[in-house]
Amino acid sequence: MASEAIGGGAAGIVRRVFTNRQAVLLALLAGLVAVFSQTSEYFLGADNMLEVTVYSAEIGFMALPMTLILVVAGIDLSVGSILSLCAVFLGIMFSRFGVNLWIAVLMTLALGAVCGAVNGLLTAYLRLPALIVTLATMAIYAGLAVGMSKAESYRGFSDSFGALGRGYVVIDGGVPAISFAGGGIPVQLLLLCAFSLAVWIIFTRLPAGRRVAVIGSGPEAARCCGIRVERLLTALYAFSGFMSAVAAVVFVSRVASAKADAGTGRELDVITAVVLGGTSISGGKGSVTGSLLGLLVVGVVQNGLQLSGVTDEWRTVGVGALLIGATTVDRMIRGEEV
Amino acid sequence: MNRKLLPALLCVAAVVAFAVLGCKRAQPPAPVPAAAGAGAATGAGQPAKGAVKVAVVPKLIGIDYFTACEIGAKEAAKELGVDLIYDGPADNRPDKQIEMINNFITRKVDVIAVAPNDPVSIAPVLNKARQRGIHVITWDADADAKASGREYFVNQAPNDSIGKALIDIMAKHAGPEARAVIITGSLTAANQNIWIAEMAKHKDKAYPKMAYVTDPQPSEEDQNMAFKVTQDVIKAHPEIQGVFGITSVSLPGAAEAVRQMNLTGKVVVTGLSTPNSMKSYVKDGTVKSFVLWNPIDLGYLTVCVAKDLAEGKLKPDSKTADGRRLGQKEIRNGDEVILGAPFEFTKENIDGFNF
Repeated sequence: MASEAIGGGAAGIVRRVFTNRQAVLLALLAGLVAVFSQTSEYFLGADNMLEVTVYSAEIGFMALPMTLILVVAGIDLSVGSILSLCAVFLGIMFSRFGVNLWIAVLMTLALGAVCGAVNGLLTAYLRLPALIVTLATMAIYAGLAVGMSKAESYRGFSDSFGALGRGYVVIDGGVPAISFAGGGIPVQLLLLCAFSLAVWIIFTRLPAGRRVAVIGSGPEAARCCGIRVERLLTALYAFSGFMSAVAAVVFVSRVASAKADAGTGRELDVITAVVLGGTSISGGKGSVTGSLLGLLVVGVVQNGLQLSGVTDEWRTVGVGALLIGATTVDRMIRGEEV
Repeated sequence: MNRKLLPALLCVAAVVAFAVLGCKRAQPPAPVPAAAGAGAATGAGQPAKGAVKVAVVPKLIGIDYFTACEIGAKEAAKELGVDLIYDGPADNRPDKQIEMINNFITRKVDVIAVAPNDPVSIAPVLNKARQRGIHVITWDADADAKASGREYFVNQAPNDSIGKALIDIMAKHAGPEARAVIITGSLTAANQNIWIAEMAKHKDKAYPKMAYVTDPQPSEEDQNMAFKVTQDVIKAHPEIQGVFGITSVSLPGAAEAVRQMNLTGKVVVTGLSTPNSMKSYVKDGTVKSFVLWNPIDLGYLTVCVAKDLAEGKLKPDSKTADGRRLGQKEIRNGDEVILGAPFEFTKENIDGFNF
């Protein structure tokens, strides 16, 4: 079956998977790699390429649901705050109350889903604008995180837990094993791949995903088609909260401490990656592969600039300029389509 | 297909142009000191190919204190022919520091010298650097020595002498029974917490009737937050006689609060900060005196230690470290290079400093 696909319709599949915007991003990525391999001799190594994904993964977890939420013309500004709250909650459960770490992780994931579901209920059933709801919960969740922790940071996580955020999967004598010294595939990259694949399949292959797309093109039409819009919207926001909790768990594992500023400002990184990937902020259009490419471009820019000796404040300038540049080029190319 | 290919190529060209320009423009901060060194010292200070490559990572960039450290680090790099990279996060977040250090590991520097924002969370990545054969030292604040595997800690001043100096100043100006509060950085900052403990030790021994009105208040390295926190504490505890601001931004924040509440002369303010940010408060008497080591010397000594460590001149049994223009510096407990006792800044001497 696979050989048939490659023989007959490879170009068709490629075209289906990568729309025009993604071709632009791929070209952009190629250009960036070409430049950074010139400005830093360390950029092109396999180790460094994998290192890029370590920092992108946490943003990536949140970018997956954000893509779907933007498709239905919503937005979730509270993802960074949910990350902070979940990180602090995990720290408190584990360090202060002595809950078994893995049970605390499950509780954290549940908390994330609940936080997201609150956003969803307010948006879907009370018909409040998502921007206002999540702007409010962004402040509320961040405030709760600081209040619960009193700006304290929680520590003492075991090494086995550290594997989630700092571990690399290496093949040791034919058996996969976890190493902390690098030289393998980062654990969170595997997690991100698994979640991405799941979301991609649901969004593009299953009825639920098609319903999301229908809501994106018009909620009233969707209602007429018999889609339970409210339920689906609530589920989307709950999923967003859940994925923020996943990011929180990986973050706490990577940094080995949990503090209330863990997620500060992350929502902008997430939205940057998704929008760069071609998902429209006004709804109706978006793709998971685009968001992943956008994520990769941001990660490569951040990493490449640092390896080339550009300091922190200029790196953020670079990312901002890139977003404007890519969007402009994309619009110019597809002038008649937009 | 052509219609799609052309725009894509245009796009690549645009991006390449942007990135090249961006790198060109932003790069000077790194190579400039080397070039300047070559000019000033007629080639003597220029890092040769194969020069020791040292990455110095402050807690954050863009504040007076760490800018002063940078001046000293660059001075030493120029003198010793070290290839120096001085870069830190724009805010004091541990996760950003970890990410940067990972990139320095990728860049295969010879020594990483870091002022950790969090002693515990920084440890694994420092340990990873050690496993890759990179020397690791800490400065300004220490990391968990065992877990991180760091070789030396360049200690700006013995903690006990700082705690003692601050409490003595408070007792001198507000009396041995003063009611005071501490405005600290973040509650996780290691050196602030040790100073707080040392202050308590000296207070209990020398002035048992001195007391705090409340727990140390965090200001998160944010001057405005220090200002607000100080005002809140003074409002809540009108009996207060003294405020300790024990980070370079919490002291001016605390002093500004006392000045704006017209309590100059009634509430004694002291602590640790840089002379430039404190000049106006010292001159109008809001702050009688405060202490600090010289951060320029701290940056300078850090690069000296880094170079000697990389070249094998500093060994586990060394009793002193060569501080070049600073002289020989004591090594305590086998791995702590001591910069010296803290310096007390007053109205009389503060004009002699510019950092």
